[in-house]
Amino acid sequence: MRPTLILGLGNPLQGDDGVGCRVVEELFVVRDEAQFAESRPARAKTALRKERCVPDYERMPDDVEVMDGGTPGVGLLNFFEGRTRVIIIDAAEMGVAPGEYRRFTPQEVTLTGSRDRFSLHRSGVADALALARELKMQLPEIIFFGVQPASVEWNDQLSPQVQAALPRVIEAILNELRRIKSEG
Amino acid sequence: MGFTMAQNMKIDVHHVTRVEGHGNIVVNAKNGVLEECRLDIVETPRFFEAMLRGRPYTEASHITSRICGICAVGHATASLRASENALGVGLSEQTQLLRKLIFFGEMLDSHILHTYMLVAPDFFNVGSVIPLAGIAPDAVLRALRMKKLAGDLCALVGGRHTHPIAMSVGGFTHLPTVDELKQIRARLIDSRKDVDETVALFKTLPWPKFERGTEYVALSKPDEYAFIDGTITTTDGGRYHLNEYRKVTNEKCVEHSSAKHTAHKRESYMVGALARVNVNYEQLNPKAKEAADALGLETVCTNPYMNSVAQVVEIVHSTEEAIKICDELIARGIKKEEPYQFKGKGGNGVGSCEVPRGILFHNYEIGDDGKIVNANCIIPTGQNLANIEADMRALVPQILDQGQEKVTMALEMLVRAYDPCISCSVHFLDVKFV
Repeated sequence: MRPTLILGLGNPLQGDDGVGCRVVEELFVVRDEAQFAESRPARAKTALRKERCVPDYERMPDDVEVMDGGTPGVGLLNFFEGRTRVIIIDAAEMGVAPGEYRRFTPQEVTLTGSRDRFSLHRSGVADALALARELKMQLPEIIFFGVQPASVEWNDQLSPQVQAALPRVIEAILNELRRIKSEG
Repeated sequence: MGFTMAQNMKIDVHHVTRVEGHGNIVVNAKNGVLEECRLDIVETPRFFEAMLRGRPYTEASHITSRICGICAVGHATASLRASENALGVGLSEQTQLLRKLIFFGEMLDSHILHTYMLVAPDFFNVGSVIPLAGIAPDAVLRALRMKKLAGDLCALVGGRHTHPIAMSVGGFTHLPTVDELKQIRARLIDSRKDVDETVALFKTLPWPKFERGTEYVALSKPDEYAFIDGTITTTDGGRYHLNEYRKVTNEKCVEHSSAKHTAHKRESYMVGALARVNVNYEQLNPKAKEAADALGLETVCTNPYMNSVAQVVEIVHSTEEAIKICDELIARGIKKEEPYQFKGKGGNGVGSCEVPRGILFHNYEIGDDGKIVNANCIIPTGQNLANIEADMRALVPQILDQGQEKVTMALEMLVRAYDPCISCSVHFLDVKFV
């Protein structure tokens, strides 16, 4: 198992909610997916695919696994098993302009997710982390890249603002990987 | 006869917790008479039907598998069966076995989630699985362990976690190896201990008593407990070919809900694990029958709260049957198969399967250019809505004297028992920087 996991979360049928999946799709087409070429999902024909956001795939280190996690709810915790570090890309309501992204760790933010409002989608990440704390589970280092959505209505396209942000977000993740590598 | 306080009651539960998506419960009773009793549905997107129109049939399963984060395999399977029936595509035995195997994986994943994390907290008087983890950590850790195995089984066959990318019209674009199947089989065998402990735990829970004569609808097959394909069968004696699904669903719009209601011989019917056990009890794996016995589930059971118990029975069934399918696939060996080639002729087809929440229909009309002309999708929760309301109307007068708090609790538990997926609401993070 590769020690670092890059995990995109969200639903690509719900507009910008799917930004994590879109970012990850760009990253993992690289190595894992050649065998599934015939069954490429619908988004293969979007503008995103015509203009590749990652010009040089060789920059992805061998010890990194890339995964589209969809909307796993507490199942998120199962993706953490055996990992040293998990980088999560997800849409995040941060009160900034649509398309802006922020890097943060769970310690740096309050993730809204009430103990009484447990559901599988909304704030599933917050609930999963709260559950992990309650169970005193050993968690890997978690780094979020949150992208401010413009719209999360049913729609299989990203908003122009978030679409335009993809190269910046991807570059930031690749920089993160470089930093991790240089720190050994 | 004097009136007590309890006979006037107004309940308005906004966004019932621990159900997928959002639903509101509204109850209004005056002088002991129920004036209003309904389940409001905030949203039910029909958007994906429009989205499918004009798309190549090869994309349909990948689009629809994103409708629901929990039923990805179920939607993909119904979608593929609709396309395959429309195009006259036959399936190899290997493909059918692999489809069943991944289906069991999703059934386990969803049922474990619902029974342990969404239903069990009610019986421990806690608001969610998070405080439950504080008082019963072993049970929650067991649930996570079982979910991990179920997810890994889906990933092994589907080619990827969460979304079964390898499933395609006519077969699989990626196949598990025999060694991988042996490994997952060994883990399924090991999980029997967890399955036994699951039955033991749920046996101890005091399920609410409430009976109401109901028509149950599920797929059935002559030779097995049906999950994929079959005849639409009801406990009131209805039997229909899949192509006649509209004779069962009879969808109609109702004023207070954006979702359509369905009805067959009565005002409503129920689908889901309880419906399946009621229709197909005889075909359950022997160990699942033992579990049903231990859990006090006797068919035909007309207590909707027992749907969660039926899910526990199906956890046993799915584990045992998944082991059997692994055995069969290991004995046969895995062979690479040629992918289906489109013949330039479209058609109309219905695909149906029993997803965790009940019978699901996809109906596609595919043009000669291979593009989808029309799509219809009827989800289990949509079919259960009218029945949940009928249960509420029958239940509330029986318990009205117990006071607002208990009535509210009983109604929330009732709605949760159906494991409803009212809509897949957005899940994005809500972040405040500290």
